[in-house]
Order: sequence, then C-alpha cells, then structure tokens
Amino acid sequence: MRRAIQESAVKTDVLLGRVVKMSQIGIDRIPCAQVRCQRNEFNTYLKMYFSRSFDYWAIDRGQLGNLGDTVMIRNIDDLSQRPTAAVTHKIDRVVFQYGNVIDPVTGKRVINDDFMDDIELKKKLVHDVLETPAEQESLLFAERRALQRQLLENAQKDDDFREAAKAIENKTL
Amino acid sequence: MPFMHGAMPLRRTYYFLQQGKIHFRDNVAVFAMSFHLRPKAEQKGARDFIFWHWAQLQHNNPTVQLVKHRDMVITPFARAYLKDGREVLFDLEGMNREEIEQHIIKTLGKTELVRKRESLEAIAKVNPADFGSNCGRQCMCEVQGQHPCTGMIYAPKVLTGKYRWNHNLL
Repeated sequence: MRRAIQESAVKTDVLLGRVVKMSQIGIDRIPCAQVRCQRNEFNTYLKMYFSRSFDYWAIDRGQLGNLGDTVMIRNIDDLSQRPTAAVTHKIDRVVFQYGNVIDPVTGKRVINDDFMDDIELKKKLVHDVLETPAEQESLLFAERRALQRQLLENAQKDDDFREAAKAIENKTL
Repeated sequence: MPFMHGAMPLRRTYYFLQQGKIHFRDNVAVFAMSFHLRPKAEQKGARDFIFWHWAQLQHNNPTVQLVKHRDMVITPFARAYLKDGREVLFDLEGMNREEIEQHIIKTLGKTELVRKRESLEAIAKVNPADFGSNCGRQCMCEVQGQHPCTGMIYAPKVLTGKYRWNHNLL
C-alpha cells in the first residue's frame, strides 16, 4: 500500500543513469545496456522527495558505454527503430566513464579528491627530494638525511617557488 | 508545522516548496549537480543550495530529472541537459547559494513575466462552464436549477429514454 506516494512525473525522453548490465540482442549481436535512472517520488505525508530507480534497456550501436559508466539515454520515438519491445531507449553519450572521472570544469582527471596532475607533481617532488639520495648506496644514514634536507632547501629556495608561495600567502594568486 | 523532525523541517512544508524561485524553461530535460558532503570553503555554496532548494526545484519542475553527483569531482558544478542535446555547464566554485540560485535563474529560468503570461493563458483555456472528470463540477446535477442525478432520484417517466425513444411496440 503506497497511499502517500505521488508518482514521479519525470519525462522519460532524456534520462541520466548508470549502466548496470550489458547484453547483446539479435542475430547481429548488437550491444545494449541496462541503465538505472533515478526519478524522485513525492511522499505527500512527509512532504519529502525520495529517489527511486528505474531500469531501462538502451541500445548501444557505437559501443559507447561500458559497465558502470554514467550515460545519457534518449527515447526511441519511432517504434520501427526499436530492435525489441523491451529496448525503448538508445545511449546518446557517456557523461562519466567508470574509473576515469574527468572534471568537466577543468578538464582534468580526478582520482579520489585529487587532480591527476597534482598527484604526478607530488610524486615527482617526493622522488626528486627523498628517493634520489636514497638510491646512492655508499652514503651513511646521517649523510643521506643531510642530502635530502639540502635538496629540499634548494627546492624551497628556487625563485619561482618562493614567489608563488608568497603570492599564495598574500592571496594574489 | 506538524512532524518537526529532521535537520530543517521547514523545508517539508507546502508553503516552502511553493516559494521556489527556479522554474526551468521547457527546454530543460535533466539537471545534474555535483556537491561534497564535507565541503571546503569554495565548495560550500553547492551543498547549501542542495540542502535548501533541491526539493523546491523538483516541486516546481516535476517533469525534469534531478541528479546529484556526490563527491565525484573536485569543482562543484551544475549541468543542465536540454531536450535537443545541448549541455549548459555552471561552475559553482566559490559561489554561495544565493549567487548560484540567481545564476541559474538568469540562464535557465522562466522570468516572472513569462510565468504570469502562462498562468493567464492557462486560465483562458479553461471554460468554467465545463463539467466532467477533469473539471470543477463532476456532474451537471450539481448546478442549482438542473435536474437531480438519476442515481439519487428516479426521473419522471416522461423524461426517461425508454419512454421517449425506445418504443418496444409490438
């Protein structure tokens, strides 16, 4: 009994969803994907919206989508174009690729709250300062430590670095 | 305000839901927003916008699919997908929720003038004399001066169909 639930009026012409299953249909084995899309339902008693997912089968002739991708699907209005009665949509474009999320504003890849180029920069810095002295086996521990500190001071003394650090402090950068 | 449970139960009132300022243009099919649950200073605006205005947005635009991207990328952004396939991208970094709201209204929202005109057109379309399933009056018998519903009272025999037209005369 779902008396307090008002059905969602969201139009199914264009939807955004996640691919949960891949399959193939027809003799030609055309790939198609099952896409899970959220539509908010209103609870008239609590006066809150709750998201409820619906699955749609979408045909994917160009093999754009893979498992887990966030895709945009579009309704196939022309009934003769639908390969089966169950497959009602087609994949229009891939919004976010699974495992390769690209920030739409900056265009850079994001891995766990860090831009990819930030990670690369940190890795390079760590390698240059910490690990290159460690590769020299003839040094004692104290000598190696001194060399690492020297490299770090050099990096900090570098003109560009100092100017950038100052600018960040003065909030001009 | 009954049922005062939750973080800000004011959001769960019809009055508040109707106060929403963003009415999307007919073009907009999907509206997606990215936010962070534990935001930094620059990311806070998007989180506040969703806290206050998400339900209002859905209430005033029941045909638009609203999607939340939680902790997905670093910059908070909003993206609207139009019916013809175009995308409208908003960069929400460093904006607070009022700024975000104004920005969206300016780009994708219907102006007050347009909404007024649409409401007047809707009124003009409706004929107050109509009665039926989608109208104010269900049956003509509700109008004073009309015959009462034959479901309640038998009609006089002179007015019944079987007397007037259906003459089963042998």
